[in-house]
Amino acid sequence: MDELKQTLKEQIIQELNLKEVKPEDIADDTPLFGDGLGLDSIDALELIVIMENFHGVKITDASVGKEVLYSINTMAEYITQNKPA
Amino acid sequence: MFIRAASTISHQPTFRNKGFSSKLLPLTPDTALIHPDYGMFIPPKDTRRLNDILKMAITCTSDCLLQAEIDQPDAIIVGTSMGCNEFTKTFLDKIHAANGGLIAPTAFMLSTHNTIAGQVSLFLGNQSYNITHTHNNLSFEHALVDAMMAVEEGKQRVLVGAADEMGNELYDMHERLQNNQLLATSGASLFILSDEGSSVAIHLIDVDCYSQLENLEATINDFLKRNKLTLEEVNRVLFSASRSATAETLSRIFQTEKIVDYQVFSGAYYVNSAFAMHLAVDLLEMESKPGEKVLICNNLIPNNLGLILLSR
Repeated sequence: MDELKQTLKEQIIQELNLKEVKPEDIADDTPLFGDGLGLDSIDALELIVIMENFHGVKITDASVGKEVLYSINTMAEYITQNKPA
Repeated sequence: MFIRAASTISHQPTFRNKGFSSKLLPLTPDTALIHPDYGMFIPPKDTRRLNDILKMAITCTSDCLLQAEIDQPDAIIVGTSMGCNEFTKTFLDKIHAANGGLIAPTAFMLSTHNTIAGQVSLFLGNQSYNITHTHNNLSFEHALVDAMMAVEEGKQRVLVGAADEMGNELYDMHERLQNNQLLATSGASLFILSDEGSSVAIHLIDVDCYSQLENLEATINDFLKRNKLTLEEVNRVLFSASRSATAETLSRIFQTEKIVDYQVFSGAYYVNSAFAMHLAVDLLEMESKPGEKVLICNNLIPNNLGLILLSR
């Protein structure tokens, strides 16, 4: 799980072009939106693309998206539970 | 109509450098863009979705607003031939890589021609008239015509300019397509047009675009005639061309020492007549006497002609 979290942090920094941020700056439970990392609605779409293209996990139910994309912890947990066998 | 502010980022030391016209050197094949410190003009958090062409346009905009001592323009008008073609390429690469899967939104959003004017507007929080003109090498001239009409309709401070970028792939294509020695470059130039002058006022007298050019000499004569000028009353001609016939005609109808090929300094990009307009402004401010006139003759594409007339 720790390896997955580290990978997610690196992918988020790369795909969202967060040049000023290092993986160690993102705590596992830091909120990705709002007062946390400060991501916005366009970034939410980028995160969904990361989940699907890099990890093979789709978020098909919009109502769970907000909870899944809350933090690195919640993303990693969702990927682990829903990753294709 | 007056040019209240001018700002250019290019392959020459043009940015925030009044008098740059006396320091220009011909570009060499290893030429590179001279980037200012964008962080002085754009907060770091706002730059992550911006590539060079957007940073250049926004930085020149900020510089123009500082020069003109205004917070907001009454209109934002941009000319670009290629738009944000680096984002277009990124978007196409992502379509290919996705292989039918999901495509990230950012490159798509920023890949359009009107991204430049749009991002300037978003950066300023400006909801006034906002438009992009794209007409090959006449994109800037069309934007300028629109800006002049906006001022005539009562808008007091109009932001107008042009930007184009040449990515690596386009550099390669350009080299294969061109049979002359033009250097492919990039650049952004922004201006504030206004009815109100300043201490050293540069007048924008007239602009016109011709897309089915038949006779260069007759067209220039008609353009000057409608402005009640003769060939002799033009003090300097800045021109661009991709064939030698243009320079030969201009040498014949004007005195040879009056004509300057500005592409030697700007390199070739489709809106480099905006670089020429800033060069003309700088020449008129630094070296001319009141009443002197500069004609910009943009004939980069042989059938297209853009004419811009300025005076001090």
